[in-house]
Amino acid sequence: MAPIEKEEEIHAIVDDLSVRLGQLGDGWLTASEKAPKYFEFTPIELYAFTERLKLAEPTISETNTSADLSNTVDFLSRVKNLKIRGSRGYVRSSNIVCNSLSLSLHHCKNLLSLWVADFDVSRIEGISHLRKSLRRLVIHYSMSRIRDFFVKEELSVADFEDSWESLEEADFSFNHLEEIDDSIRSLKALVRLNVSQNRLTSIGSTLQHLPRLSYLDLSKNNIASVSGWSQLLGQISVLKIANNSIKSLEGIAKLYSLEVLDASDNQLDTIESVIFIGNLPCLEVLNLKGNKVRKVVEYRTRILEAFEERAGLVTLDGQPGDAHEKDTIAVRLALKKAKEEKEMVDRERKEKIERSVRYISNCEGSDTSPYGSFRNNL
Amino acid sequence: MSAGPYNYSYIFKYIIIGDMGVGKSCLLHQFTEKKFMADCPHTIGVEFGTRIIEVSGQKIKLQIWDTAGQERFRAVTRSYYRGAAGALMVYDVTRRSTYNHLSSWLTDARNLTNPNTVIFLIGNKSDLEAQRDVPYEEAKAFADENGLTFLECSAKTGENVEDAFLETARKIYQNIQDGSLDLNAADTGVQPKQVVRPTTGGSAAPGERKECNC
Ligand SMILES: Nc1nc2c(ncn2[C@@H]2O[C@H](COP(=O)(O)OP(=O)(O)OP(=O)(O)O)[C@@H](O)[C@H]2O)c(=O)[nH]1
Ligand SMILES: [Mg+2]
Repeated sequence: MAPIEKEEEIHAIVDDLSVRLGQLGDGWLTASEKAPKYFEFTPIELYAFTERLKLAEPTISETNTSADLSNTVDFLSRVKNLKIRGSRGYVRSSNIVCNSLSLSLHHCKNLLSLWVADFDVSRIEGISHLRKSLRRLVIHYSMSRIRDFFVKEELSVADFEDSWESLEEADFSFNHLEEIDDSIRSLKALVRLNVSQNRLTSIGSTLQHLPRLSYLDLSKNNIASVSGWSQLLGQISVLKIANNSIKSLEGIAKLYSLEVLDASDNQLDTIESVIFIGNLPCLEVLNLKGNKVRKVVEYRTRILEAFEERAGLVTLDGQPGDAHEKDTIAVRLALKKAKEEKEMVDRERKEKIERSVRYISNCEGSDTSPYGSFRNNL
Repeated sequence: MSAGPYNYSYIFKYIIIGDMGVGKSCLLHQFTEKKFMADCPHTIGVEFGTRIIEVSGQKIKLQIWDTAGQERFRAVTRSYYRGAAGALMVYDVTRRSTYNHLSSWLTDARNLTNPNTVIFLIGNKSDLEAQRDVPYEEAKAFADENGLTFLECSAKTGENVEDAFLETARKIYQNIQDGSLDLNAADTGVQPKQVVRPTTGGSAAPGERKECNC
């Protein structure tokens, strides 16, 4: 662990990178213009690069003149899609412990996508340039709090208020998230958010501040209730809540923008726990597979019936209603309508009678009328 | 691979030096992005930028190191002088102190670069005529005395910025042409583009794992 050895190692790693990137970097970057691809670095490489920049030494290696630090900076400052893939535990037989490394992306000024796997995101620094350019952020197996990536000591208060103006897609699936914290508010451009395969029990109240969010994947979490979500989710059109323990869909009855809902593998047991969503005017795809409600008699027709005249437009569990189902629903709706009409006619008749009675009673003088005093008592 | 914008014959390395706040980072940004950065933070350590230019029909890639002017980074920034083919030395025409410090910057540059390094003097913020604190003639005389090429520029309007970077490259290229810059010597800051033989299939080409198709 002597610092000298560590410094030697830093040089060895960066020199190696600089030689290769000097030879091949331009070719790779040119090729990736046509067919975009991720370029993968290990945390230890980026750590060594970060540390190398802090050393007061010429950019060119003493021993190898083609090992020029400029080549590595050059590559990193132009690369568009970067992947950082760590591994748990020790790196080779290195003096450097992978988990304790900090690395800076300060020189990555043109990144469009960043992918991090198996590396603690709280150790990634220098992210302020990414705010302007980054469009896609993927983080797996690397965080327990969203703020660990977005909130850095190095950033000033003004930086926090600055939003990530280009970030449209965030995939934070397969992490240990327990909440969707406030730091996500700065992702003003976010359209798609995937937080599946985490430990969420609720969605918190921050998502309503993301004006463009339309795709939300919350599958495989520990969510038991969607209560109040109509207010908490603005313009969601695709919502995936599969593999949770949700008992009722009442909370999303007014999520009027919803087009696709995957609620498979939950604890929706009764028709009543589902049909709240019958009023959603845009819903076209509904998945309830893996719920007990599917065992209820006439499950499909009763669910589809909730959508009334839109029933024919809804695909349930991967299948649109078949001819028989449509007929049944049509008949039921017709009966229902007839019943409603009859009720209306009855009601109208009753009101008419009441009106004439009122008229008569008014003519007789209110004090003496038994009807009149009855009405006054009401 | 040899098509595309990265088909060039040489890499020239530059450094930009001068007191803090004179506009070094803004000059770099104006040159590489053609934009003025009004709220530029102080540089911590070094910044970096590249651009491909053309000199006498030859494409040249400039790799530019922009150093921090703050005293506390002096040790780190000094180490970047070595291996620079061009050094842009910047002062602020509205702050005489930044001009007065030029002799110490020049001493550093002369001592730490190689004899062929082209040193170019830039008087920045020429758009702020009303606040001018250093007359053009005075700086011009200083430049002549020390054998430097000199231009007043504005990173804000872009005036002369392009010329300063290009003129430096022309001088370096001239040095290559007339043989005064030996391409085989170390630390010249000039690299002929490396010719890469196509890697033969199957063998573990260095850097292969850097690419990833997912
Ligand atoms: N009016 C005007 N302002 C400029 C010009 N160039 C830079 N500035 C301003 O001067 C300030 C400092 O510019 P920087 O480029 O950060 O200075 P620097 O030399 O890189 O400073 P350090 O990184 O601390 O060494 C910034 O607020 C710029 O907006 C210019 O040409 N005209
Ligand atoms: Mg600067």
